[in-house]
Amino acid sequence: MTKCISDEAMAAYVDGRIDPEERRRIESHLVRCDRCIEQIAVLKRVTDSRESLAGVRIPDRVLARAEALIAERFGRRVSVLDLVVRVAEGLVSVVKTTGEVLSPDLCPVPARGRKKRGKNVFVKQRAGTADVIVEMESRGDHPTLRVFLENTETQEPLDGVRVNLKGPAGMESRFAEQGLADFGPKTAGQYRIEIEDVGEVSLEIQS
Amino acid sequence: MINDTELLHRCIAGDQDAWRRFLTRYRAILYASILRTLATRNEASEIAEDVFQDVLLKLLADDCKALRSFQGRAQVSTWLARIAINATIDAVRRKRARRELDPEDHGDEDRCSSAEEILKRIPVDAGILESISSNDLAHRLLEQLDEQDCLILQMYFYGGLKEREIAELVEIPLNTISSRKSRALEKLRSAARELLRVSSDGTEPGKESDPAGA
Repeated sequence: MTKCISDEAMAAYVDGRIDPEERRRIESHLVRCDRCIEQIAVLKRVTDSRESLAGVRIPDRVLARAEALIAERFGRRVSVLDLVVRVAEGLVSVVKTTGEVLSPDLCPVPARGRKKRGKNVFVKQRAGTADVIVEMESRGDHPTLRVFLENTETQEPLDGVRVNLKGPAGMESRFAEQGLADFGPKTAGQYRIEIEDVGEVSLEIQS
Repeated sequence: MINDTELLHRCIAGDQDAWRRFLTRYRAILYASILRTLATRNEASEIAEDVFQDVLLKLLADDCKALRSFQGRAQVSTWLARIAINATIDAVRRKRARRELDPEDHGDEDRCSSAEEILKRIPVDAGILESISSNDLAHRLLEQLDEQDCLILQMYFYGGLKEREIAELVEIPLNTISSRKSRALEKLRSAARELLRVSSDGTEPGKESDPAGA
């Protein structure tokens, strides 16, 4: 079978921007290649509906991941995750986030065994090659903040990554051990979590 | 608004704001291409997010090699859609290979060929199917057709395209597509009947029809 059609030649075919000779070459391949037939069909449908694509719903976290990847590639730091939590009557709840709220049974391995349903929340975001999981556990008057870092592909904990927390009481620094940076209890307020080579998390604790 | 080619050049130069604009301009067509490809392969949309990331990684790889290779022969958005479709098919293939816990990539085995898909549309005696694999039979039948007629049938039955869409792609008037499609199907029917007659006579079905020869 002839070589499959290149990305640009197939796009030019669908756009109707090819000369007769190339058309013959492409059609002669298409008739023998089911994969290319399938792709042409999808491509035709998608590009025909180009004008109505504004309504395509893309989850915020997908765009946040994409932004993080670009920032990682071009060196400027961006927020990978925004999180707002509220602490009331000994329970933590997520008010708003660009990440994914995990069910308790999907929490990171180091957190298993001590979880108490309703007492803590886990919010996850993928940032480049790392998964960032922020845990807020309600304990006494102030919730405890922990940050977990895992390799996206292998789910192995990331060790030795520097994590800085900037908040109302100044800056604290930790190196993740077994993927965990534990910052202990925190008062209400605005925080920024800077994760080396990954990005920043914006956190607001409301009470 | 800067044009598509200028935007690509700025992206290649590593302009972070250009990449943000790139995302704003093309995210919908990229995501729509991924979702539609997943739908045609009966895959849940849950892997769309990861495929979107894969596409972006591909565009960023090797100092934006993919972007640098773009020659401006097609619209940028069509070209990007094709890249997204390809990436989605690859992702589905990887996922299925993992799911089957099989080190070998079985590719598209769960998807029938365009020849089989067309065969479903023509009446064929089941007796033939017992002695010849349907795919072999379909290919033998399709070989009797003019190449462009064959392409029209594949686009229609396998690609799921409408006659109007095919007419636009192959640049032939719509009524010609309709008549060529009918004519090609009729030709296939008579070719199938002929094959059935030859097969039942036991004269010249060829080696594929030999039950012991499989």
